[in-house]
Formats: sequence, C-alpha cells, structure tokens
Amino acid sequence: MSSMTAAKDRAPAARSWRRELSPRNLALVMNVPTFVTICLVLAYPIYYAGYLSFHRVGVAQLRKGEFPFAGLDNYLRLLDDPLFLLALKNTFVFTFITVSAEVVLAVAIALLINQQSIWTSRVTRVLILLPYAIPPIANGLIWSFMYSFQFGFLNRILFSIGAISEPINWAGDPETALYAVTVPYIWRTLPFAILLVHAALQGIGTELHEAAAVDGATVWQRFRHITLPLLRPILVVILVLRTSFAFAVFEEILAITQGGPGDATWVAAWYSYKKAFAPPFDIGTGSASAYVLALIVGALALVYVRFVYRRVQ
Amino acid sequence: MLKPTPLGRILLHLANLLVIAFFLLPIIAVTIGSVQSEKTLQADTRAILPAEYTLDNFRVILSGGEQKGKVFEQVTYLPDNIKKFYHAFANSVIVAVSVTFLTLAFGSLSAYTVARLQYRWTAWLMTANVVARFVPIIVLMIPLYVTFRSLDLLNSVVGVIIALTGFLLPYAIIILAPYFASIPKELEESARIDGCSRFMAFLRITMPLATPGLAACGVIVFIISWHDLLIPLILNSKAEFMTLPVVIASLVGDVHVFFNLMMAICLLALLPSVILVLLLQKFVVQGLSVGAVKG
Amino acid sequence: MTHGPRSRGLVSRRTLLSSAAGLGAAAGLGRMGLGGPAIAAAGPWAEAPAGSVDQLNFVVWTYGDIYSRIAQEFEKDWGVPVDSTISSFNDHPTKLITMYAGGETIDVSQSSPFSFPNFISQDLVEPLDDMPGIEEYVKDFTPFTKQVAIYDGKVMGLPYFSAIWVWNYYEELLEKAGVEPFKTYDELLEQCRKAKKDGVCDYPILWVAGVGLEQLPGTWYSMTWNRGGTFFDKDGNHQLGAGSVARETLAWWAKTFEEGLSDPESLKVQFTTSAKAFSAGKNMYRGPNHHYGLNVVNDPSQSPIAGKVKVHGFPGDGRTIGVTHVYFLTTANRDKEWAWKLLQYLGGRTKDGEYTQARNLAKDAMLGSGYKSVMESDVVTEGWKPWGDPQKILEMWDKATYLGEVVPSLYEPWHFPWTDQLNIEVQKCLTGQISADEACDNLIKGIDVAKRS
Repeated sequence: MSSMTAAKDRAPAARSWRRELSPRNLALVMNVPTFVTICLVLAYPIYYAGYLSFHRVGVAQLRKGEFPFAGLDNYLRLLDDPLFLLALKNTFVFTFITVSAEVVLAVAIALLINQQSIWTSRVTRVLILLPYAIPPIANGLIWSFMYSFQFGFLNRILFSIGAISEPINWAGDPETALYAVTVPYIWRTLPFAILLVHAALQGIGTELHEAAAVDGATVWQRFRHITLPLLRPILVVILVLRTSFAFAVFEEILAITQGGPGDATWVAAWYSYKKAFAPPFDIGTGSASAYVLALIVGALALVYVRFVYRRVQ
Repeated sequence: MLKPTPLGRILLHLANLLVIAFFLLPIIAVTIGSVQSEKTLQADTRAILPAEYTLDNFRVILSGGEQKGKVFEQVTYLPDNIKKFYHAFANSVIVAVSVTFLTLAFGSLSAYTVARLQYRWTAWLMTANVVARFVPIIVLMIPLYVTFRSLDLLNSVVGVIIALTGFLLPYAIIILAPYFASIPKELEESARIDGCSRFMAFLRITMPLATPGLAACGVIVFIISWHDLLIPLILNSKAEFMTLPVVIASLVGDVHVFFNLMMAICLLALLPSVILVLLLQKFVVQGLSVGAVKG
Repeated sequence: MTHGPRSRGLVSRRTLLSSAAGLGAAAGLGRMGLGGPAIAAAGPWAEAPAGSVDQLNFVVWTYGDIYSRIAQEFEKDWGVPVDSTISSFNDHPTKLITMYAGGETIDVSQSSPFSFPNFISQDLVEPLDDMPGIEEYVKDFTPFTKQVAIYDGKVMGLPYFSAIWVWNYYEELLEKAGVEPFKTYDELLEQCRKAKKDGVCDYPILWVAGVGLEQLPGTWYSMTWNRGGTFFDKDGNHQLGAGSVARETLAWWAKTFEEGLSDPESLKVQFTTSAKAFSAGKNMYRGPNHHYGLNVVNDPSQSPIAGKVKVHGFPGDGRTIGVTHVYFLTTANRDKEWAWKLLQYLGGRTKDGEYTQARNLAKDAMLGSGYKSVMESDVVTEGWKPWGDPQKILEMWDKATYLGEVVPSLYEPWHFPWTDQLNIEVQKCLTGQISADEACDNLIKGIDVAKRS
C-alpha cells in the first residue's frame, strides 16, 4: 500500500527536480520493489538452501546459530537412504501418470467443449474452471472422504449401482495407493491444461477440416493429421509446466495418505518436509533433498525458456 | 465445425455427462458429507444420501464452537482450531488481499519496464521470472524458515504476505508484461507531448487501459494465495496467525477428527474462491493462457 | 546428551522406583486430594509466586476445550492471562520444536513418553526438583508416571493422563457368531475364521495400525509383551532376531491380514478414529488400544452401537502395557515460578488444592490419571461407568507394565526416528509386501541408522 503512494509522491518530485528521470533510471527505480522482494524471498533462500545443504543444521544448531560445515554428508546420506530413492521413484511415477493423463484428457475435453452444436458441451464449458477454485488441501480431504474404505463416497456409489459387493480399499492398498492419489491431483490441475488446449483450438480454422472432409477423411484422420500437429506447440507447453509442478506434489499426499500405507506414497516433497520439520529435525538433509528436487525442476525450467516459452505465440 | 451425425451427437452428450459427473463428483461428496452427522455416516455405509440431515456441522463452526447442536452436545473434545474459523477466514482474506495488491503494484511497475523500456537487463529479468515461476515452494520453505527466523518475521501475517508476494511476483510479471505490451504506445506518447512525465503517463494512461490484465492477474494471484498451505504452515505456529488451509491441514493429523465437520469446513473454505472464479471466469481464462505462453 | 549407557539410566530409574514404593505413606497422602479444599488450600499451590508476569503461555496438543477452560480458571485465580498454542497430537512435536528453534518463549508444554527423552536431550525440559510442593506430587505419582516423569533421577514433568491397552468386542456380533470372548490367540483366529466363513462379518478384527508413535507400534508392543517378549533387553540389545517373540507376533499379526480377517481400514485409524470406525458395527473385535476408546464407542450421541461394546483383557496372564503422558516446564520459560504455577494447573493442583484438570479428564473423557489419589477416587470408580466397567478396567490396570520396560529404546533420543521406520516396515509387512522376517531385519539395520541421525 505504502509503496504505491510513495511512487505517486516520487513522480511529481522527480519532475520538479529535473524535468524527469531518464528511461534507464526510471526502469531501475520502477524495479526496486520487485528486486528487493524477489531477492529476499526467492534468490537468497535458493542460495541459502544450497548453503544449508552442505552444513549440519538441527534444532541445537539453530538455537546456537552455528552451522558446522558438513561437506557432502547430507547428500551422501540421501543416496544412502532407500526411502529417498523410493520417494524419487514414486515422484517420477506420479508425474508420468498425471502428466500423460492430463494431456490426453485435456485434448479430449477441449475438443468436446468445442462442439458448438451440442448443448451439454456448453454446460461442461462453464464447469471446466471449478476444480481450479478448490484449495489443494481441501481437495485432498474431500478425496480422502471419497476414498475411505469403510464409509467412502466412491464405494457408496458403486454399491448403489450394484457394481461391487465388497468395498474397495482405494488409497489404503499399497498396490493402488500411488495411482489413487494421482486422480485428485489430475482433477484439480486439469482445468489449466484444458484451457490452454481450448484456446489453441480457437486458432485453428474450420476450412482445413471441411476440405479434408470433402476429400473423405474420417474424424480420426482429420484429428491425427490436422488438429494434433497444430496443437503440438501448446502440448509441449503443458507437458513442461505440468511436469515441473507435479514434481512438487504435496497437499494431496498430506491429506490422503501421508506417505502410506507403508512407504507406498512417499514423494520427494513429502520427504523434504518430513526430514526438515518432523523429529529429529534434520534441516541439512531436508535442504539437500529439496535441492535435488530444485535441480530437476530447474533443468525443466531451462528447457521451457530455451525451447518453448518464446516460440509459442 | 462440421455437424456431427445423430449417433455422434448421442455419444458427445454421453461424453459430456461423464465429464460433468467427474468434475462435480467431489463437490457433491463434500456437500453430502457436510450435512450429516458422523453417526449417520457410520450407521449405513452403503447409502449415498444420509438418512438424516443436519446443519450442526456448520452451526458449530460458524458459532465458534458455542452452539454445539444435537450432534456435538455430548462431545468433550471438539478440535480447538474449528473454533477459530472466523479468525482464520479473516487471516486468509487479509493475506490474499494484501498479496494481490502488493503483487499487482510491484508487478505492474516491473512489467511496464519489461514491455516498454526495453533494455537487455529487462529481457534478462523476464527470463529470470519465467525460471523463477518453476521454483517449488517446498524448496523455499526451509531457507525461508531460517531466514525469516533471523529477521523476526516468524509468527506474523506480515511474514506470510511478504513470502507469498515474492513467490508470486514472477508469475504476475509474466502475465502482466504481455498486456502492457499490447497497449498502443501512441496513447502514452500523446500524453507525454501534453507535458506528462513518463511515469505519470504510465499511471494515468497505461494502468487504466491495462485493467483487464490487472483483473486477470489479480484473480489468479488471489486464488493462489487463498489456497497456499505451505508458507503459513511453516512460518506460523500460533493459532492467531493461521489461515484457512492451515486450519484444515491441522485437522488431518487430529486423532479426534470429525469427518463431517472437516467436510463442512472444506466447503466453507472453497466457497469464496469458487464464487470468485465463476464470476471472473473470463479473466481467469485469459490470465492462465497469457501466463503460459506469451500473449 | 548426558544420558550415557542405557543400562545406567534404567538402573537409576529402578532404584528410584523402589525407594518411592517404600514410602508407605504414599497412598494415605494421595487421598488428600479428596479431603476437600479446606485441608488442601493450605499447600504451596495456593501461594502466589514472588515475581510478576503480564502473561504466560503453553504449547499443547488438542483435547477439546479443556485448555480454554483451564486457562480461564488460571486467569480468574491469579489475574494472569494465558496464551495457548494448540495443534494436533501428531503435529505437536513439530510445532513445539519449530517454536523452540524460532527462539520463542514457551512456559509449559506437553509430551508423550515417546518424544520426552528426545525433548530432554534437546535441552528443552527444565527439571522440577527445586519447585515448591514437588515432593507431595511425586509421592502421589503412580508407578507409570514415575517411570516417565523421572529421568536420570530428576523430576522432569507432571502427569497429563494415563492409559492402558485393552481389547474391545461388539457383543451383538459375538452373539451372532455364537462365541464367547477369546481366551487365547489361537481361539481368536478360529473365531474370526468361522465368523468370516459364516458371513457374520467381512472383517472380524479392526486393529489400531495407523501411522504414529503409539498407534501401530503400540499394538505390536502390547501383543509382544503379552506373549512374553520385549523389544530390547536391559543392556539395550534388540530382541528382534530370528525366533524372537516380537518377530513371531508380527508374523501372526500379518497372517490375520493375509487371511482377510483384519479390516483394511486398520492401517489408517488412530486412537479415536478407530473407535469411530468400530462404531459402524462391522467388526467383532477392536484390537488393543488405549482403554478410553470406550468413551466414543459407547457414547449414544456418537455411536450407532453405543452400550453394546465391552472391554476385554489380554489372553494368558492378562499382562498389558500402559503409558503416562506428561506436561513439563520448558527451558524457554519467561519466569520459572509462574511457569510452575501454570504447569500445576495442567498437571497438578489448582489454587483450591484440587486436581481439577485430572479429575475433569477422568470424568468427562475417561482418561486415567497419573495420580494414585485420582485413580482411587469416585471420578474413576463412578465416573467411568457410562462407558465401561471401571472395576474390570482397574483390574487390567494392575496387570499393566509401563511401556518403557517393554521397549527401553523409548528412553533414547533415536527412538523417535526409529519409530518412523517401524511404522513403514510393519505396514509393509501387514500389507504383504515384505515378510515379518524382512521387516525385523530391516528394523535391526535401522537402529544404527537412527542412532547416527
């Protein structure tokens, strides 16, 4: 609030002092708030996380304010921890499933809501954004009610339509738990992907389709040879963005399985959180594990900047 | 588009019904879950609709635990955080509104320089923002906790606002910059001929014209800060600074948890953002697509 | 960490115990709490501390509104407002430690016996030996309480509540199956197999096997102890090797899952949630857990099967385990005298000389007390009646051993991280991903890893 009024005050003052700031200086001044905030909240913490990951940091060290240098100990401990390796593997599986499902579903649903002549498509179009509005933690809790073995909503529906005679243990069976937690995540993040595909579809004219139809191309052939190639750039955008965000999944895990049963749904972000903020509060190793995550995501970000973001219009 | 065949139409309707059911299912579940008692839920574990409806879950939350109603009158161990609903709601509003305002203010200043005053370093800034958008919150959590601890910013709403503003600024700039770039330069230039400084022209001419962009960016930032769990979870340990997501998360580990009460509080927490998103649908759509690819 | 070799810690604790037991006057003194305010009000609990503070605070895990009530009472009695930070049981250690590490002032906090040695080793806990009136309290401590609250010869805390592990059964389903409550583990298996085959219920047993410090672990600990085993011997050597009772118990337990006799919900439920799940009336037995689960399953306002759930003791000689959770004064307090005053409101006597909190917890929530005088009073013998047979539960109480005897590692700071692994390995075993042998072998390896961290 104050920065806004300060900026207002600054402008006339600058004018009276010397007509006005040069564009170069003005650009600098206008970026001061952003620089300060980003340095404090993003740049420094990212550097500092790296620093912490090479030091021994526990509760006692925090109280004393001294962090003894630990070299690569934290990283070596990670590589030595089967749970961390499993968490990474689970994260890859989770990401692979969610992202591929989202891309396929997004294309299918975007094509569906693009059907102007179908009135139910208009209803769907209104609802598309709904999941985007649900807080992730609430989403997780709602799905833990859906999945509950004993009184869950999904089992109730399946009982009512006579599809099952025994309740299904969706999130409590180690065989299925990891797949079970992908569904709420897909549900919540799907709107974004649908929107992007939908927007891209608007840019594809109908002429090509009509011409191809006259030539006798089937619906599938038209999709395969006309729509899909034109959608490719936006699908790459979705792929990269969704992959990097799915890597950091946390809330749904916290609400639905807390990593269980056993270690079936331990993912990377859950590992970092548990290491650093649950006893014995090994902040050093927690930082190291978070940094591994950051490096993977960082690589994806570079790919995005270098090959994707600028190219797509 | 080509007209589908009659069979195709039926299939398309069916597909739509399926998608609608998928999108609505959790909303139906949370609603049904919130209007019954746990006893009703346990008594018949196969029925979709409860045998008995009650609003006691909402009553107990909205009265701050004062009115327990029939369902909770015997209960001696109501989760304490349930009673802090209004407090948490207010904190969530304060955080989301302040973060939105600050992010728009700082973000507009930066986005304007990126769009208009093009230097090599502003282009570099833009790239940095795009990269920064990828940083997962969990990576920031640990160092933010340690840094904010030494800055004495733990246990305050201000700390959460600063952290979230910094976290969301890059995304805001990514969304705003293309909007500013799309506003014709000529308008600003004619104002400058009339004696307006560049900065005043930005404030008086460009900003008002960028309102749709600000709205798109604002609603997205608001939603993300309304939803965020990790930052307030780690930075605050006191009940008076809890936001709604933190209160909800605190019920997850509660050994005395009441399932239906949780559904009710989830429903109350998701209503504001659902209403906002549905009302401002157009802006959300624009913001999300501009934020993903250059507009 | 000054705790030194495990054995020494245990011996010193033992000696103290026996010497305390030698005080024959203990029981007599204990009744003082019932003697009424007239006698009790004269004690040190009624005197104001010398210094002055403008507020006090405590950090605890949630239990209904007991904390707002006690805070109000404290302010009314002493004119000092009390600020509280309340989180869930499982989040409490995280919350407390982040506040402590954040350099905040914390006068009084709370611990399960599992995290207490860890907190003590982090210099978080202030010894109470010099506080006025402490001898009176110690004399009234139950044996469990002494074993938790007295560490290396120093009094480190006052009791919050005590609980023992008991079984529950649902009368109606047992009648339907035509069986009496089991007397041996084999009989239990047979009953469950038959009930499942006859279609009495799909899953005869609901265990408390959700992840936690004493949920899933407690079930394994209690059954192992009842079958004559322990987890570590006096010298700290693990008792998990091939052929050990713990290993056999786990294998037996996993079999109940493999045969489909155990409710899959078991792996998610905690103390109260298991009682609620049992309230659906779908299981014959609820596996061993804190006795006060009856307070939920037999509460007509919460449970569709209220009144039809009975408490059942362990088979064989009936030995079981018990714990006491404690309140303690933290080293980050603002004023030791005043913090002690507040600590007594949570874990001791209020100004009127009554154990107000302990009595309310027994009366309202069926919690056991860490004070002998409260356990012998009518808040237990009468107060518990709506939910279960107090006499029967108290008889089981006499056969309960403090968990620290069964799992001496809980005196070690590394017990906490080791329990994290225990939860994972045991759940993997119960879900058939690994064998009991593999689980125990992994746990044996995990001991060294936990010690390193």
